[in-house]
Amino acid sequence: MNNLLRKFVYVSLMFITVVGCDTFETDLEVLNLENPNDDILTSDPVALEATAAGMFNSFYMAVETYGGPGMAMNTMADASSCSWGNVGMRDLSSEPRVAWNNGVAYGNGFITNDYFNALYSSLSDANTLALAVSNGTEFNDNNLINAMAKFGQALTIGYNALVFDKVWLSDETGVIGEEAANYADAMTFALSKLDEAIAIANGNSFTVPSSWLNVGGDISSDQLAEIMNSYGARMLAGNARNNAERGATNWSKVLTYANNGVSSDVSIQHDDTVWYDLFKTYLVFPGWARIDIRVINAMDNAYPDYWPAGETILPEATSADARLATDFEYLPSQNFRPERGEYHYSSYRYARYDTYIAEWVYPTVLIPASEIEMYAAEAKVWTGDAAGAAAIVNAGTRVTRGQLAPVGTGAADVLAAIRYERLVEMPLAAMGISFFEMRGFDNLQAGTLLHFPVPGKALESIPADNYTFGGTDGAAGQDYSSGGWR
Amino acid sequence: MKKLLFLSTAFMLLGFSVFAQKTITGVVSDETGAPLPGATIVIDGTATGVSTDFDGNFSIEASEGETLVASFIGYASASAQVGAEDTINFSLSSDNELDEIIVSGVAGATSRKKLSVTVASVNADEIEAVPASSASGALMGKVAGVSITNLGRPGQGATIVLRGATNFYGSQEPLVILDGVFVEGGLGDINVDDIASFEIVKGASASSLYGSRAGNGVIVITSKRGKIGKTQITFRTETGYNEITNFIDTNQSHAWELASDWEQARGSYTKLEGITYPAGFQSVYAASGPQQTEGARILSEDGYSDNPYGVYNDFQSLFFKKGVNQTNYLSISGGDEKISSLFSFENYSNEGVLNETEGYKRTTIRANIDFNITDNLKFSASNSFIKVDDLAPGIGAQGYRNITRLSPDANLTFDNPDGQAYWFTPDPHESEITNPLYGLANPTLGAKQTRFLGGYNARYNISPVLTAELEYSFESDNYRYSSSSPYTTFQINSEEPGFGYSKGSLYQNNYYQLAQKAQATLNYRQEFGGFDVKAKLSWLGEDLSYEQFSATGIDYLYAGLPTLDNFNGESITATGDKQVVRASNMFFIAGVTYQDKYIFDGLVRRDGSSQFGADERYNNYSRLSGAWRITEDFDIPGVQEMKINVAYGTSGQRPGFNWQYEQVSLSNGQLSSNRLKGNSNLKPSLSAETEFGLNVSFLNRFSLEVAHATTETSDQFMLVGLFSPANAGKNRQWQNVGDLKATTIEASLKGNVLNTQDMRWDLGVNYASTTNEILALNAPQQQVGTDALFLLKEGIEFGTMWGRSFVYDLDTMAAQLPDGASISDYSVNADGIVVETANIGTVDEAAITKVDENGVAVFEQIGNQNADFRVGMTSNFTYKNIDFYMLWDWKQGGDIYNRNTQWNTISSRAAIVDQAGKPDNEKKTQNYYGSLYDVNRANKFWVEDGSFVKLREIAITYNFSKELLARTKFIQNAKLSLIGRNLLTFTDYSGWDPEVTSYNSGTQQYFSVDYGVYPTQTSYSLSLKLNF
Repeated sequence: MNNLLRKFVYVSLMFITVVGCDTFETDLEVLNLENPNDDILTSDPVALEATAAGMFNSFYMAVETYGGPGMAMNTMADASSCSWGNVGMRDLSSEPRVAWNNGVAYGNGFITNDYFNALYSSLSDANTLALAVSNGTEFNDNNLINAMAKFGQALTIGYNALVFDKVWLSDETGVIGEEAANYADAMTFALSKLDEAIAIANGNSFTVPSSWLNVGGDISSDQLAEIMNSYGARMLAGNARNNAERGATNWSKVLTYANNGVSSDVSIQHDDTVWYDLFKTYLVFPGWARIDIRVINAMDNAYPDYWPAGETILPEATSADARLATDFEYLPSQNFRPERGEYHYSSYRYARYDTYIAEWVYPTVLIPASEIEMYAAEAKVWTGDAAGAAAIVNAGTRVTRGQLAPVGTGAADVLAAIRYERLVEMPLAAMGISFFEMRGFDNLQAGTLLHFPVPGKALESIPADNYTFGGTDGAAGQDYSSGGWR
Repeated sequence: MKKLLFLSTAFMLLGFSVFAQKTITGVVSDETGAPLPGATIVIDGTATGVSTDFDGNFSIEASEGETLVASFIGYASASAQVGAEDTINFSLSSDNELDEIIVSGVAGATSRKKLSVTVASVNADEIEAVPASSASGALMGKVAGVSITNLGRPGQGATIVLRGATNFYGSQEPLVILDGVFVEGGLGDINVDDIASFEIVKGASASSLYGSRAGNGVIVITSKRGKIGKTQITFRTETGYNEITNFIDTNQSHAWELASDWEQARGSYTKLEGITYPAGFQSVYAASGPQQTEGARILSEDGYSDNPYGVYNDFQSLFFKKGVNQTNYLSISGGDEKISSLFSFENYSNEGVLNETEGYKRTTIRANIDFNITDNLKFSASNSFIKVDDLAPGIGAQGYRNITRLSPDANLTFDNPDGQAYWFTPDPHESEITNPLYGLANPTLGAKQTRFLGGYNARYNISPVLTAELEYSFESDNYRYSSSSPYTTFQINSEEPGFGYSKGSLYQNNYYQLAQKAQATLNYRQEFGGFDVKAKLSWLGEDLSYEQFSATGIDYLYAGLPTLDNFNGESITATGDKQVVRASNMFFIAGVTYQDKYIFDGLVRRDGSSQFGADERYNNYSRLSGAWRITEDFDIPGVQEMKINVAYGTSGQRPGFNWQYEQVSLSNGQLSSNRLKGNSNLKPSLSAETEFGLNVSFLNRFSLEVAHATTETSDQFMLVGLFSPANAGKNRQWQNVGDLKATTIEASLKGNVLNTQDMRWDLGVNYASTTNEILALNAPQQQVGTDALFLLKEGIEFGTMWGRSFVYDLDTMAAQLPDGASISDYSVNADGIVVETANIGTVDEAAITKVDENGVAVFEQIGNQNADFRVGMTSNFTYKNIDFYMLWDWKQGGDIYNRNTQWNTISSRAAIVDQAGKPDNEKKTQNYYGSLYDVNRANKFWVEDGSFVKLREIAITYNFSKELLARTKFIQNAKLSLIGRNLLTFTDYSGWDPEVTSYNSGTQQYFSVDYGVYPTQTSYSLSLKLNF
């Protein structure tokens, strides 16, 4: 008996040794230490500062992404051309234009849904940061955190307003309003937040660490204010759905933003890990989208602005504009398919980001100085200072890069020159700017949506009835284009 | 841990008693009285056993009250309880399915004829005729209700689904237990030569015993063990090759205008009108440089793809190769009354069928040891070490498509400008198609993995009726993956000739996983007053830890050095993951048999898991089942055994590790912008199965098993959309939202058709059909799976494909006529598609999309991946020394979405586009086929029937005669087999093979979408097995 007991104890002890406390745990309360939880994210100053550090990156990656609406908007604007079905490029640039398929089953629905959700997640972070500051949380520099929080609120609400017909507003005080705001009210709210951020930057001195905006080293609060002002000019000028609204835009405010904006190109220093630009990548990558020949026609008026029926390839264009040679590449072959519409054909691609798509760890422009200059110039035109506008144009890329003759001081000529610069100098510089420009001048082809509806999946989760714009859905001139450049 | 210590101590404190052992001798013989040499006698519930000698004699030490079980291949087992007598003789009758002993899912070892739930079993002799390359494929076609689909690539194994689907999200694969080890790393690396038996616990009622991991059923595998007797050595070697026997047809013509002098370039390239070719053109694509062409192709006036190419190449012959597979297996086993052991070693390699790819290599070492420490104390150890080198294909999913997307005149073997083989962009007119052979040849990638599976069991007979068991098992999985693209790896860019060096990259991924299980069990067995009672009380703990990290470097600094040190610091990124999963479960099961004919069984189980939401930490499971052996009460002529059973039981599936947590995902220091909301109320899904079964043994030759099972799985997991503006930017949440019902009817019939002195013919047929219906969905419908082709929606069948459709009949067309059009303007064309009559045969002929009343393209069911039924048939015919074995596998129904072919239509390479040889009045234009492409959207046109009949396994075996072997003095048995796998396939499916399944990480499930699928192969081999 004792012998047996000893042996059994021996085996049991072996078992317990193998299943020792250090190697075998039975506590069912397991933490997930891979991600920060909501308590940490809303209360820990270190975590909040990390959130502030990533604020601009989250916005940038939501906007300059493959899965956003940017590439389709470039084809809707006839700045780029692509007959491939990816990310709605073909559907939304088909002729005649059709309504956006806002059904939850639509395979390209993610281009608005992901963008929508990403911006609202960043808005939530911005609100959390602003609330922490208002609650007295001690950061290394509360002004820095507060400025980034307000900047984040402005960008996320503003970029929702630029793209969608309505926006759900909120800030550190909670939800604003019982219903969603229309795009114009939303932009007003966004710019009020931007103005707060600019005021914080102007009224204080702080340094924004290099990695926060990743535009090449640490930047001062003054430089941050320039970038914020630049976004102010872009968002306010771009928010108009039609020419009437563009005319009614507060151009003096645009001018103020532009005058206080950047004076040299601001570029993102891509690391191909956290920072990369798929919007530009797929609009220039060989075999993907091409540049719309409307852009080539602008430089060479003898060149067709619309693909001639029956042609498979066009000869090279010639232009006095030096950028035809430096920024564009002639393609002697055609890779789009005829049955998808020859109107997608093009004989040029945009070559300005070729180093980026070879090196990847390489900067591309975030805010071209020329873009801000053109907002200033356009503001002057709208406010009756065509000569001042011409001076801006003639001091800019039209002459410095394009090596074109200076434009005269007639308002129409100057406005045409401004629009030419946008078309030739910056057709792919940033998500949406070509589209915003075209809708503001009633130039989007008839039937092109002027803004997207709230994504179908978001409507489904409210739940709310589905709706859409484009084709003949919505109000003509308000929700879809009733005009067009051709 | 405290609980574990408590239980262990409790067992130690239980009283011990000493039982007298004595020597039992006897003879094992067949029905005719002929002795059976090599038969096995084991003490039931232990590893203690002996083998009979050449005269069928045995001698074994056993205690009164213990049960001896005699078994021999081809014969039904027999058992007898040790009583006062010292001699027990066994007479074994020919094999009868119903006499098998089942140990899984029940209160204790139970004869199949006394089971009240359905548990199938497959023994070693059923898998040894044609040994599968791994355990995952060994059951294919052999068991009703077990659906197995090959994954093609060597080492990847197969997917296994028992009966129907149980999950919207999450794996459908069963829990696998090998010698007590919960196998977390899959069966693809487990060799079959070591396997003694499978027990398949198919439904939730039978698997209730395994609780919250068993909703998909359970497969219990037992490995071979040493037996008392002289040392046995088994050696098996098999060598053969694999190949793809069915190449995909592609369009061998084109629709472009040929140059007037195209014949002059014939043999070199296809000279087209509109294009200027450089001197020495090699029929490749170049955006610039010496190989650049200028101009554009001109669509021929008729638009028909019926023009010849100047060169024809067979790319599939270059892409695929005949790959060698090899197995060498050696086992040594034996033992005495104190210790028995089995040691085995296996080397397996399979090159696969992709060129420039080495394939999969595996080494397995097993050591199973059983100690009879005392008469009542046993200890068993099962150890298996597996080492894998998996040199994976260098191409992604697109490589499989591209090989059939290339124009016949593309030049895959032309050297690149720097001398590297395989021109990077080989198709003269497709700038984005990269060379699949270049992709196979260039990256160096592969995984090195070691797995150790250990199961340890101590068992003490406390009294004649009570046994205590302690068990510990673990699986240690150490995985290292490395993928290096050299500095000189090309990427498409704007450099001449349209591609240039990428500077390379290196990705290394490592993980270590330790999955442990500890179990303490009290077993009870007593017979009294006509009752046979078995019961089990058990605590089971699980502790799994997983740690992973990976690092990626981009842009090598120095060529030829594939190390993470060879990058700038800022060019290296790293990620990691860490998961801990724990469970603490208790269960009690009791089974009662009255007078050997009325059988009842019940269990309760309570599972606690760290994977359940904080507010749902514990969940309960239960079972009640009963059976009646009718033939014990009534004599039915010709029927030896008839049993009916009914069972109701519950089991479940656990949520994923991170589904419950209120967190924001973090990667590379950035918070995710695609956020999930946590859910502390997340429960395991609950599968409740009701099963009715019938088992019949008749005419002394046949056994029939029929089961009808209905499983309703409630609290289905689903990632449900949230309105992000109202949820702090979080747009989805894991919720328990729906009910899924699977109904299965399965039957299997086995029998001995012929049995004479020289001939024996055994046949087995199994059948199963399952339907899966989504009964309820408390959330908006959702598209899931590969390419979001599958729909979750209340009232529809789970596994159905949804998408767009063309108009196929004039009635539908009449309902959607454009303004001003007349139905008389339309007709159904030769492809069965409605088109405008006037456009037939012209470039304007186009399929018309079916629309709803609002003019929006319909979204409707376009296919169903579920098979109507599956049938497996085995035939084993023996004539003297020759065995002829076949396994046929028939899958009826089950659609495949042929994404490969649809996508290749973008380049007009689908075979249907080829108009050469068609009468002119039947030709259709390239533009027309472009309309069928439908921009690669999910469209009914590209759904194909995936039915097949396969000769899954065939073997002709010669068993060398004893007389001949006796001359060698040392070889006891020898057999030589010619083996074929997947030799014949009858199907209408147009892809390489109809056995198609692709993994979708979003749902963690497999779907029948043919894109990027490594095709299933045909293999032939020669096997020699020797016993010493």
